[in-house]
This record gives sequence, C-alpha cells and structure tokens, in this order.
Amino acid sequence: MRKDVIELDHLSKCYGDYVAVNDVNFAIASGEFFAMLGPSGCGKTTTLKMIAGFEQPTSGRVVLDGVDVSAVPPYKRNVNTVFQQYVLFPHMSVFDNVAFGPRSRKTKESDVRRSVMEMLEVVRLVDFAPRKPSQLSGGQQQRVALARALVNYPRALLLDEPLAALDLKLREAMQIELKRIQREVGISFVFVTHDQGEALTMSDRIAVMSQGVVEQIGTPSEIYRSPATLFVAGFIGSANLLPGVVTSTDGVDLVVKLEIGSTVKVAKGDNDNFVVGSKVSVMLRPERIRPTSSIPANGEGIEGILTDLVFQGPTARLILRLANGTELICITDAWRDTPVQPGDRTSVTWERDCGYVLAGWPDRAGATTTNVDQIEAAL
Amino acid sequence: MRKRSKIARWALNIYAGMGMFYLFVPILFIVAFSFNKPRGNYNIVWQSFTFDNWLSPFSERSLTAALWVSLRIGAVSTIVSTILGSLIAIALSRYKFRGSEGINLFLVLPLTTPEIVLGSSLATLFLGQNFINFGFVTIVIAHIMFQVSFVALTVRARIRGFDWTLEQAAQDLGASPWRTFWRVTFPLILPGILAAGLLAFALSIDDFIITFFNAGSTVTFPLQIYGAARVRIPPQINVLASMILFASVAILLVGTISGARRQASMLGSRNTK
Repeated sequence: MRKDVIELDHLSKCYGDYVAVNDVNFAIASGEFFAMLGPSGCGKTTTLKMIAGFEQPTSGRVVLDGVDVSAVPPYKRNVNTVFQQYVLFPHMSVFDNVAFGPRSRKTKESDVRRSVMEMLEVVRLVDFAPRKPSQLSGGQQQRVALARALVNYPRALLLDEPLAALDLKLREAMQIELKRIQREVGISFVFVTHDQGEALTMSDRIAVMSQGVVEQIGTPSEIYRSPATLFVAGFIGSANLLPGVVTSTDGVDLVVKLEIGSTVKVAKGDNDNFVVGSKVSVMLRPERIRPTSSIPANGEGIEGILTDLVFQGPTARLILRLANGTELICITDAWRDTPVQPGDRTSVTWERDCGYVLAGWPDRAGATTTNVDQIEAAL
Repeated sequence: MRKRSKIARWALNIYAGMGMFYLFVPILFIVAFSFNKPRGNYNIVWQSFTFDNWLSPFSERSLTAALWVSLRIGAVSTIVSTILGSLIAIALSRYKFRGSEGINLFLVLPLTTPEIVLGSSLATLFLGQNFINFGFVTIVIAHIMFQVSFVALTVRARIRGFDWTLEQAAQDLGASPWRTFWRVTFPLILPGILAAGLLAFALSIDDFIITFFNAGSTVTFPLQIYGAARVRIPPQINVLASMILFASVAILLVGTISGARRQASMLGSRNTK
C-alpha cells in the first residue's frame, strides 16, 4: 500500500476578502514527484508555504506523516524548501551552507562533515566546498540550495519555481538533474511551477491550480488527454475549443451542434453528465486533426480556409480560419505532403475518438494559443 | 575646445582643493599646536616646536580625568543605544505594522529639535523627580536619547534591501529563531551596526549643549575645555584632541580597507567565472 507523506485536508488561506487558496485537498505519496502547476496568483506558492510552515492556513489542516502540523513552526517540520532565488547564506562557504541544517540539529561535527561531502557528491560540487555563494554560477547556486535542503533527508522537499531564474539551456539540464537526484535520494518532491512543459516532463502527478482551486489532479498524460475543465484543456498544451450544444446522445457518442454551424459526433468518454441541451465544448488537440481538401463521408470535420502554413522541421503548423473568424490550429507530420496551400478551402478531419467533450463554453472559441514555443514545449 | 575644457578641469581642481583646505585647516591647526611650546597660559600663538606635550599628554590631571569620564559615558551610552537602536531598525525594516510611520517621526524628532531645547527640557524632566541626581547617570540617559535615533536611522539605511527570506531559509533548515538571528541575521547586518555604534560614540564624546544642562557637577571632556578656556588653554588639549582624531581616522581606514578588500575579492571571483 502506498504511504502518504503529505496530506492537505480542506486547506484554505484568505488575506482579508481575497481567497488565495480555496479548499485544497490532496495527498502526496512517499517518493513521488508531485507538481503544482498554474498561472501566477493561482495559490500554488501559498499552498507550498503552508506546507513549509511560513504561512498559517485560515482553515483546514496540513498533515505530515499522519501528524497534524498546522500549528508547528517551520523549524520543527521535517520538510525543506528550495527557494526560487536560492537564498544561500552569503557570508558562509558552500560547505557551511550545506552544513547549516545538520548543525542546527546539533549533529556531531564528524557526521556533519561526512553527510555534507556525500551530498555535495550527489550534486557534483565537491570541489566547490570552500567557495562563497557569490563565486558560483546560477546553476551551481541552485545545486547548493538543493544539497543544503537534501542533506537533512526531509520527508519531502518543497521546490518553489527552482528553475525559473535559470536560462533555457541550463533549465533543461537541471530538469534532468533534478529527476536524477530525486531518484537517487528517493525523497518526495513537491514542485511549484507555472511552466507546463516542466511539469509534464518531470512529474509523476500534477495538480493544476487556478484562482486558489485545484482544477485537476492526475498523471501528465491524464491531464493532457482528459482535462477535467476548460481551464486545464487550455493551460496544458494547446487546444482548439469549439463551443456547442448536445443535440442527441446514444450512450457511446454525443452529437454536438457547434456554434460555427456544423454538427459533429464525439466520443462521450467517461463523463456521464451530458444530456441533450448541455452547453459543451469540443476539444481538438492540434496534433489529433488532419487537413484535407474534402471531408470523408465516414469522418468528422470542419470547413474553413487555410491562412498559414509553417514548416517547422519535424512538424508543420497550419492555421485555419473558419467562416465566423474562429482560428483553429493543426499540427501535422512534416514528412507527409499537405494536400492544401494557404488560401485554399480546407477542412480538418479527425478519427472518432480524437475529439473530447468538456462542460461549458470557453471565453474565446478556437485555438487557445497559436504560439509555437508553447506548443513545442507541450509536445 | 579641448584647451577650454582643460582650463575648466584645472579650475575645478583648484576649487576642490580650496574646499578641502578650508575643511582641513582647523584640524591641521589643532595637530600643529600640539607641538607648540606656549608662553604663558594660552596655547594660541605659535612659539617654538617641541615634543614635550606629547611626552606628557596626561599631565593636566583635571583634563585627563574629564576625558576618562567622557570615554566611560561614551562607552555605556553607545552600548545601550546601539542595542536599542538596532532593534528598532530591524523591527522597522522587517515588519509593516500599524504605527510604523509614526515611529519614523519619533526617530527624526531628536535630530531636528534644537539641542538647546532637548537639553533644557531634559533638565526640567530630571529636576521634577527625586530618584536620580544630576551627574553620570543623567548624562548617559541624555546621550542615549539622541544616539538611539542616529543608530536606528543608520542601521535601517544599511539594512535596506536585506533579504529577509534568508531568515525563512534558516528556519526551514531547522534553526530556531534564536539561532537564526545569531548565525544569519546578525553576522550579515553587523557592519551596519558597527558603523552606527562608532557614530553614536563620536556623538557622545562630542556633545556639549545637552550635556551641559544635565551634567550637575560631573565634568566631561568638552565641558572641561570650555570651563578651562577662560583661564588657560594648555597644549595637552591639542594632544588629547589629536589622539582622538588619529584614533577615529585609524578606525575609519581599517573599515574602508577591509570593506574594499572584501568587495575586490568578490568582484575578482566574479570576473574569473
């Protein structure tokens, strides 16, 4: 049976009238790499601070190893934090920084020496032990911060956007490094990030948060393939969201009349809440739809005009404008010839199980983003 | 064009030199006259060069006693005011609380109030009670009163921009608030506290007006010089004053050099990276 290290029980935090964290419930298992993902201001950092003990919950409990620690000060909690700006002690050497935790617990100096050097070995900074933090690069400082936290063998390591201050190349290297270290020490990592690519790459499970509420918790593929809400669909990767109304249902498929006029058949999935008349959105991931010059009789499709075709190496990106101005994005295998050229009347079509139905209508119909980098990051 | 800018630069240098000269002449005068061999009671006219005064700097017993009193008052009041002022500064820069703006006003008040007002009103305060007699204690209290403001403002200026999440990091690593303060906060803000302490000490040694009102029969160094000046001005005044001057310059130099060295080592390492 899997053992939970951290359990958040109806956790809320209010600042006056502002609800920063709203009734958050989840448990993090031993050895798990858990990410809290969301845009800034979604409450993920506040949640992390409540786990660390820097913020007191307005209501609810933080349970650590089965013990309610909501009122326990941070220095008596067996979790450690890696801060966004590292916050190394500038007046101490790398060695003394890492030794700070063990020395605070009055560990014998010979043991301190051994465990500090062991941990510097793990983060590959043994030669840097006598240096001051100001003499290290950003990535090295990051690894000192990691070693300083991990040397205490906490029950869980809390990481607050630890890679945000690094440049792209270093960030990618550190993602792999973090995974390696986590496997090596076997400690639960709770990782806060606004970068969905980072969360998808590294996590065992992700909690997607928005406006203080947990929208969905699941593995990266669950969240990408079966988003629970419109927010998750749009925030993770890129999605084409088309509003419509359910006109009939036969238990397996839903027939949805889209706002743009066409009627499509979409697999119902696990969600049983849709009845005739429900306001729904059909989500089409850009890589799950194909451009075609005419819709095949047995498939589903939408008609529009191809406005943009960009060759990107392994993939090609197409932007399609529908009759009412809605833009769709479509990503195809670049090795297959595209049957259409910009300006042509073009349809997109998809296999029966490639569409996905979500409750509610999006703020803006069509592609959630046409930004190439974000799409690449999501894939 | 080039010629003109050259002339302008020369003019600026001369002007700056004159400014420095104006500032330093009185000080040079004090040091120079410590080597004078005065005729009569007043050491104000240059006669001839001698080392005698420096060989017997403590021969004026009342003057030496007064300096000793001043040093003791300075030491006690500086220690107390540096602790109190630093705590105020830490509280003000770390926490936002109701009334912190009001405290700001209170801090600036002793600096802007004329000393004569502070001195006389303090004297009135001390007169109105029967617990302490005028003397060492009242002077110390008076000095602490204005020193606290200077210390609090100096320390606060020095720790502006201090990263208080360092304290969170320390507590996160299991350090109690006590250990966090002594191992992290205090070592990092110590230079600011030392600078403030030196300033406070100098203010105490130097103060005349407020001390004058609250001294009773106790005589500090400035009071002694003032009182004696009507009868005689022995060259030992210049010797002791020069000693104080050299001591403060030495402290300043040590501080500047060690600070510069620390900065240079940091910069150097950054360049090699």
